[in-house]
This record gives sequence, C-alpha cells and structure tokens, in this order.
Amino acid sequence: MKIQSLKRWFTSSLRGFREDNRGLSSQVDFMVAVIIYVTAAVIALGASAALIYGSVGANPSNGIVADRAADRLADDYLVDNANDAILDRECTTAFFDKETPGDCGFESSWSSVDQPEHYLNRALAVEEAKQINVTIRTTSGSIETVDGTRLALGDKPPEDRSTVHGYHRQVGLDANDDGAAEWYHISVKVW
Amino acid sequence: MRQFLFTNTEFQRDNRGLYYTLDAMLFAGLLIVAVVLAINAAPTQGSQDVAADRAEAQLQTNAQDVLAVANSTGRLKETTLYWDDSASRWVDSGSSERYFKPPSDHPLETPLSKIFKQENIAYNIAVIYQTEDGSTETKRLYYQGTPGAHAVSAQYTTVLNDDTHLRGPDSDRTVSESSTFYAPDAFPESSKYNILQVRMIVWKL
Repeated sequence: MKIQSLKRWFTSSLRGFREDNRGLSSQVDFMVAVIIYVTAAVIALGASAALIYGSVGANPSNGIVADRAADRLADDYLVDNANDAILDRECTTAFFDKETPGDCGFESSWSSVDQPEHYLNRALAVEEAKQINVTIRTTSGSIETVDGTRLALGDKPPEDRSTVHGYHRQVGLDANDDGAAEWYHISVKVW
Repeated sequence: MRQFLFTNTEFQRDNRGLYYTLDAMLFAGLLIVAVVLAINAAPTQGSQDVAADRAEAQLQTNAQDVLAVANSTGRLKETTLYWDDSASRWVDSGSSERYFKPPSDHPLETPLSKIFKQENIAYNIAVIYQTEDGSTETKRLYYQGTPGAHAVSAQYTTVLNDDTHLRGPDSDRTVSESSTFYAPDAFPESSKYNILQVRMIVWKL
C-alpha cells in the first residue's frame, strides 16, 4: 500500500515537474549555475597554489632573501675581497655602526636614508616590508662586541620561529686585534 | 544582460535552467577532480622539498666555510701536518690510526667539536695526496661512519714544501726529514713536497 502511494507521488511529481512552468526560473537557474561554476573555478585555482607551495606559515622567498643577504655580507661587504674568509675589522664595525669607511663595499647613502630603521633593508637590498636581523656570534652563541661596537642590527625575531627563515655563514674574525682570527658565524634572519 | 535574461523567450519556454545548474555542479566537481589529479601526477616541489634543499645548501656552505676559514688561518695545513712521526699515525689517534672526534689540541678542534656538534653534523675527513708515480692515495683523518642521505662534500687544496715542519710532538722535523709521514715527496726535483687535498663529507644526523 505504501509502495503504491509512493509510486503515485513520484509519477505525479514527475508530471508536475514536466508540466509546471520551469522556464520562468530558467534565468535564475542559469545565474546560479554561472555563480557555482565561477566559485568552483576560483576554489580550484586557489587550492592548486596551496597544494603546490604548501600552507606553511613562513614565506618561502624569505629563505632566499636570508641566503643572499648572508652571502653579501660574508663575500662582499665585510671582507677585503671575495676570497677572504676572515672578516675585515674596520668594515665589520663600520657596517654595524652604520658608517662608511672608504675601502668597504657598501655605500654612504644607506646611513643617510630618511628612515634609519630601513638601513639594513637598504644595505642588503631587502624590500622594506620584510624584517631582517643580522648578528655576528661566537661559537658559543653570544653576540660579539668589537671595539665597543655590538655586532647586531635589526629587530628581535618573533617568538614564533615557523615564520622566520635563517641562514648563516662561518667566518673568521680577529676580534681582539692580536693577529689570531677566531671562529664566528654571521647569522641572518628574515621574516 | 538583465534584458537578455528576462526577455529571452527560449529560456522561458523550456526546462533547461535546472539542467544548467546540474551541469554547472557536475563540471565544477569535474574541474576540482581534474586539478587535484593533475597536481598529483605532475612532479611538483612541495614546501618540504624546498626546506630540504635549503638545509642541504646550508650544510654545503657550512662545510666550505669551515675549510675556507681553516685555510685562511693556517689550520688546514696544520691539520695535514699533525703527525706523530714516532708512532707513524695522526697525533693521539690511537690504534685506529684515525679520529672519531677531535683531540683537544687538534687544529680543527673548534669547528668540529663546537660548530658541527651544535648543529648535529657528522663528518668524514680525508687527505688525498700525490704519489711518486703521479697517482693519488687517500689517508683517512676523521671517520664517523657511512655518510647519511643528502650528504655533501667540500674540499680545499694546500701545498707542502720540503722544509715545511710537522706539527705536534715532532715539530722539530720537516716533512722531508720524517721517516713515516704518510705523503711522499711527489716532486723530488723541486722544493715542492706534495699537493694535498683535504676532502670533507658532511651530513645531518
């Protein structure tokens, strides 16, 4: 009995479906279809980017920026020539003092920028929207001070390390000016 | 557009509107499935691969920097000369005749026991020298096992002369006076003694 009533309801529904004036809502249906399709396309394209690059908190390009900045310091700005593995004391202290001695590979214009907080970004060619921190540390991890200059520049990196990209270079530095260079590392962090 | 939609009699006379919606939903689903399949099939580089590449590049830079600084400070050459002539082996290397970790006075003690140890980096170091007939031989200096996955290598060359002194307990002797020094005089006709290549293989533990 129930089955028969179900059949009756289904056939009457179908008849109603065929006979009613569905055409009146065709325009609305068409618009709904377009919206669904466009929304799906946007979601699919957005999801594909997330699948390719992942959904990590840190911007992957920051790693390249940190890498390039560390190389620039270790191979150019803080040494006499690119093949030196020992940092030049004068150039190193001048860089962290935001000064410009004649023989060093960085320019005076950086220290006279309108916004001193962007000195590092200007010097290391890093866009100003990014934050950067540069330190020279001993093998025990403490920041070195040479001739009264603390070898650290930039804001403190955020506590959430997943958003920070770092790169470091091992270098030599005669911090005490006694002719014996010791091991240090240049650490660059970008976020 | 509005005029087109609401005066288009074809739309009003048939039931195609519903099917447009169903079509759109079907194709939206197909589009998403196609994109997911295409991404899975293509050799994409995910964030983990990027991180692994960067870690490998950092490791390579570390190794190359350590050798470069050691060379600039003279410790690389001292390392190749840290030879116990009486015992015919590296100074304090014991019966294995090679190091697992550096003894306290070793020229490379700081980078190996501080820098590499802090960063969980394992290393093998060998000295490659020339023989009298022009071929090369390898003398192991440090050996910490079979290199792991993603190991990288770095090398640096140093030259010894006939009058270069050994380091360690027999520093009063030159390499040419030594009776057991591992590298022979590969250039007997000149004051040059040998050309050594220090090769380091490093990997993350």
